[in-house]
Amino acid sequence: MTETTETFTYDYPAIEAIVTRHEAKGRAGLLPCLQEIQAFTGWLTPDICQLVGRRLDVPLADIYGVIDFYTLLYREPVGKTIIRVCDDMACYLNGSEEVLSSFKKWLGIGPGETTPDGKYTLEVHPCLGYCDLAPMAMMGDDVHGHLTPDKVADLLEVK
Amino acid sequence: MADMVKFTIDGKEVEAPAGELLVDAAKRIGINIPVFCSHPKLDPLGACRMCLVEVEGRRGRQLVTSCTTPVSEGLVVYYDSERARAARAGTLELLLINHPLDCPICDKGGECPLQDQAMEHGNGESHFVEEKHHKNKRYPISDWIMLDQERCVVCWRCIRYLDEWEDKPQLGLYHRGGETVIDIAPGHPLDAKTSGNIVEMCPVGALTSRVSRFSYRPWELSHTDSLCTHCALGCNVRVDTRLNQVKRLLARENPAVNDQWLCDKGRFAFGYMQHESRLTQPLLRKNGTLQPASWEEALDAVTAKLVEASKQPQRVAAIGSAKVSNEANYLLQKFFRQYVHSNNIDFRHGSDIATAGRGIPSIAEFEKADLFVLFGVDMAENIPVLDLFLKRAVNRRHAKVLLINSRRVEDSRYGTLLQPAPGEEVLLLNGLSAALLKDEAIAKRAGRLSGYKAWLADMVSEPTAKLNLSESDFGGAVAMLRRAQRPLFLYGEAVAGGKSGAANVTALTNLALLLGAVDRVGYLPYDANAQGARDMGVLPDRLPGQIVLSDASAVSRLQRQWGGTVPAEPGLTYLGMLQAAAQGELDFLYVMGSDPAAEGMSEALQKVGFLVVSDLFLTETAKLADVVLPAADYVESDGTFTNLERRVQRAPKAVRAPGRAAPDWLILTHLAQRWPVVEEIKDPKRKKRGHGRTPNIWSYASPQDVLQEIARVVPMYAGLTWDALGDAGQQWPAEALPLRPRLQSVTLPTLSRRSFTHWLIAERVLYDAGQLFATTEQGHNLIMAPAVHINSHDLATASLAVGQEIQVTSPHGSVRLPLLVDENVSPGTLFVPLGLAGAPAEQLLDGQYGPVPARIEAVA
Ligand code: SF4
Ligand code: SF4
Ligand code: FES
Ligand code: FES
Repeated sequence: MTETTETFTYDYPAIEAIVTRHEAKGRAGLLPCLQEIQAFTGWLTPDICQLVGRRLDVPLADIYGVIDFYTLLYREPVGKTIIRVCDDMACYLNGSEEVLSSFKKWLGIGPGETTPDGKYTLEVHPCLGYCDLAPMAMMGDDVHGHLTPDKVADLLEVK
Repeated sequence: MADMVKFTIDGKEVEAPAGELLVDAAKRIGINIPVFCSHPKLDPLGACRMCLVEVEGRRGRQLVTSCTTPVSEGLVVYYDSERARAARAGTLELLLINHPLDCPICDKGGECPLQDQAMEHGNGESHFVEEKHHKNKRYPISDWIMLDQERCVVCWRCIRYLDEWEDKPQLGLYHRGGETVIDIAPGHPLDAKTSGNIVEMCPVGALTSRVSRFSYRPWELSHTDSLCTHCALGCNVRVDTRLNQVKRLLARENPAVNDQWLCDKGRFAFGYMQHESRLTQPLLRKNGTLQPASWEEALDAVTAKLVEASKQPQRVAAIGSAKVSNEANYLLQKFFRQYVHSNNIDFRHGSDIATAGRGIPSIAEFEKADLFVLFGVDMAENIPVLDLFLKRAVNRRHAKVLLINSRRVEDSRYGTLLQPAPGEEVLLLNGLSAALLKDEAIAKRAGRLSGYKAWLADMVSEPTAKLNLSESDFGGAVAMLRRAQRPLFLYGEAVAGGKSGAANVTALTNLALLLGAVDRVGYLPYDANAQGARDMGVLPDRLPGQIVLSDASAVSRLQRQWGGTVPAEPGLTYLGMLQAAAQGELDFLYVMGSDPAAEGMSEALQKVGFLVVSDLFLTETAKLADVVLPAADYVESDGTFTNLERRVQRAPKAVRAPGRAAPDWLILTHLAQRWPVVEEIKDPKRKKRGHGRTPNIWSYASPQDVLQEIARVVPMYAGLTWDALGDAGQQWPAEALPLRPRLQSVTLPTLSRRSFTHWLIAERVLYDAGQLFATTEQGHNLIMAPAVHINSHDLATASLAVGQEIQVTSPHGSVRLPLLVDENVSPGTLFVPLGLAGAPAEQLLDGQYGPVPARIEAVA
C-alpha cells in the first residue's frame, strides 16, 4: 500500500476547466475526463484522481480500476514520449525482437521503464493495428513502420 | 401474491412466482445450481458464468446464466444436459487456469465452494500446462482483512457488498482479462465498519481474516450458536472453537435481527476472551495488596462484611451491568433486595437515562419507516449493522433522514442535519413542534391541548434566529416531518443522559405525538443488555419487569415469590451511589461487570468501606477492590440477553472459563447460600416466623433455573424457557409496558457554560481503548488516539496550532491532549471520544453525562 508521493505541479485552472466540463455526466464522463487531463499532465496523480472522483461522484477504487484497465492511462510518472513497440504475430514474424533490442540499447532502458532524463518511456504492446507496416512502433501519436535497427537509431537521432 | 408461472427443469414441472430468478426457483426443488457471483443479498450480476444452464429459446437451445434469468411461463430449462454440464466444467477449468494450488494451507479449504464445485462439476483435468499468473498473495487491504489476488475468482461479491450495503465502494476491479484483480485505491485501506462481511461472502480463500488466519482448519471446529455482545443490537453469531479456544466468529442468519451481517468489532474483536490478562482466580486484599485466594476465602470475606454492613442497608449498594446476562443481573438485584434489603441498585446508563424503557419499536421498522429522525445518535460508530439497514432504507426505498446532533456524524450524508448547541435541543424540537402546529390536521390532533399550544407558541418565537439555524434547513426539516407517513424517532444516550436528558426526550416525544407516531419513538442504548438490565429490575426505583415500587399488588406478588420483604424506598441511582461513595457514605459496594473507576470515579471508590468487584479483568475499579472475583465471559456460561428491540436471545456456553473464573449467576448463588438466614432456616429448631417474612433459599443449579424464575417473576418474560427461545429469540411486545403519552410542557434545561468557552461532547466510538477491544492485537491501529477535536474556526480564534498539546479543563477535571482539527465538530464545542487511552473524556466528565462546559488553553 505505498502511495505515490510524487505530486505533479499542474496548472490547476486548466484541469478544473476539464473537470467542470465533464462533471454533469458523472461516471459517463470519466473516461474522456481522464484522457483530457492526461493529455495535459502526462499522467494521473493521486490528487487528480481524488479531484475527479469527488466531482464526478465516482469511487476512488473505480477510478484506479479504470486507469488500470486501459493501458493508455497512467498512474505513475511516464516520459514525455511513449514508445510502444508491437510484438504481436505479424510484427514478431517480421523482426520485432530486433527492433525492441535496438530501442533498449539506445535508450538504455527496458520495457516499462523511463529514461532518466524523462524523455522516453518504452513499452511493448500487443497488436496496434498496423500489421501492414510490421514490424512497427508508435512514438507518441506517430506511427513508424517497417522498422529496422538502423531506422530506430535515426528515429532516436542517436547517430 | 405475485403471479405464479409453470416451467420445467430437466422435464420436471416447477411452479414459481413470475420473475423469480431461475437459480432460486431451482433451489427450492432441490436443484443446487453452482454459483460464485450470485448471492441472495446482492443484486444479480452474471459475472462468473458458473451457473450456466440451457433454455429453449427462439433460436434453439441457448446457454444462459441462471442467476440473471427470471422464470416465465412455459420456460424449458435443461440443467443436467450434456452441453450445460460441459459449459460449467469449462467455466471451472478456466477459473482454475491461474488458481494457485493453495488448498492445503488455505483457510477456506474444507468449506470452499470452489473446491466443492470443482469436485462436483469439474473435469478433474486441465488443458493448460503454462505457468500460472502470479499476483499479490499476502496483501493487507485493511487491518482486519488480507487479500490473496491469486485465489480470487472475480465474482465481485466483495465489491458489490461494499457498494450495495455499506455504501462505501472502497474495492474495485483493476486490469483486465486473466490479469484482473480486486484492489483498493492505493493508500486507502478499507475503513467500512462492516467490512468483515466480505470475508464471509467471498466464495474462495481470497479474502481472509487477519485475526483468524492459519489458526484452524474448518473441519476441526465445533460450532455454538450464540450472540455478539459488543452492542445493543445483539447480532447472532456462530462461535467456532477448537480445544477450548475461540477461533472465529461468523454471522448467523437471523432475518429479524442482523440478517446475515456482523460489524467488524463483533466479528474480529474477540481477542479479549482468551487474553492472558483475564482474571483466573479470586483476589483478596491482605496487608494492602491484592493476593490470590481460594473461592472459599473470598466468598467468606464478602459475606462477613456484607452481613455486618447490611445492618444499615442504605449504606450498601450494588452496580449491575448492561454487558452481562439477564440471569446475572436478575440475581444481583434479587440478592440485594431480598437479603440485604437495599434498593441501591443501578447500572451505568440505567436510571440516570431518561427513557420509556422499551428500546426501539422493532428492527423490522427500518424496512418500513419513510423518515428517520436521529436525535443524538451516531449509528455508524455505535451500532454499525443497524446503520446498514438505515443505508438500505435510504438507498433502496428513498427514506429520508433528519439528524439533530451538535456534531456532524457519518449518516449526515443521508439527510438534513440540524446542529443545535448543547442545551438548545429542546428549543429546536419545540420550534419544530410549533411549526408543525401551523398545519391544521396536526393542530387538530393536538386538539384539546390548547394550554400546551399556547405555552409552546409563547416559548418559541423565531427559533431559527435563536438557534442560529438557516431558515431553509429548518423549513426543510419541518417539511420532511410534515410529509412523513411513517416516521421513526430515535434518540441515543448522548441526549438522554444528564441534566437535560428528560427534557430532551419529552420534547422529542411531543414532536412524535403531534405526528401520531408516539409508538415509533425509540431509544438506542450503547450496551448489549441495557434493555435486559432494565427488565431485570437493576434500577433503584423499579422491580423486575420495570415495575414501580409503589405498585402494591406487584410488590406483594414478588414477595410471595421470593419470600422476605422488598424494601419500599427507592434507592440511590448510579450517580447517586458514586456521590454517596465520595461522601464516605457507602460501607459496602458490589460492582459486577462495570468499571466506574475508569470513568474518573476512583477517588470516590477509594472511600467505600468494602469494595467487591466481579469482572473479566483487573479493571481500574478492581484494582481498588478489597475482593476481586474472576468472572466468566458470556461465551463461558449459558445466559440470555435482551436486545434493543426487546428480543430475548440466548447465548450458550461455548468454551470453559479460564482458570477458576466462574459465571456471575453462580457467584451470586454461592453468596446467597452463605447468607446467615439460610442457616437459620435450615435449623429445624428455628421458631416459626410469619409467612412471607423469610426469604427463600436459593437453589439454582443452572442459568436455565434462573431463567425459569425470571419467566415467573417478570411479566413480559412470562412463559419464556431456554428451549422455547430457540435460535431466533423471542421479542416481548412493547405494549406490555404501556405508555401514557400526552403532550407535556418541557422546561428548558438550564445548562450554562459559566465562564467556560466551549461545550465538551463525549460520545462512544466503535474502536476504543477498552479491554474488550484493545486486547485484540490486530485492531490496535484502529484505536483512536486521544485528542481533543476542534473546529478549524475555533482553532483560528484560539490561535492554537494543530497537533499542539493543550490543556482541556472542565469543572470536573483537567487533562492535556493533542489538538485535532475536525470539521464535524461544530464551533463552540469540543469533542473527546469516550473510552480512549488514559480516559481523558472520563476525567473531564467525572462520571457526569455530557455535555459539560470546558475550555482550552495552550500549555505554557
Ligand atoms: S480458495 Fe479454495 S480452491 Fe482456492 S486454494 Fe483456497 S481452498 Fe483451495
Ligand atoms: S475477493 Fe473473493 S469476493 Fe472478492 S471478487 Fe474475489 S473471489 Fe469474489
Ligand atoms: S501485429 Fe504488430 S501491429 Fe498488428
Ligand atoms: S452465479 Fe451466475 S454468473 Fe455467476
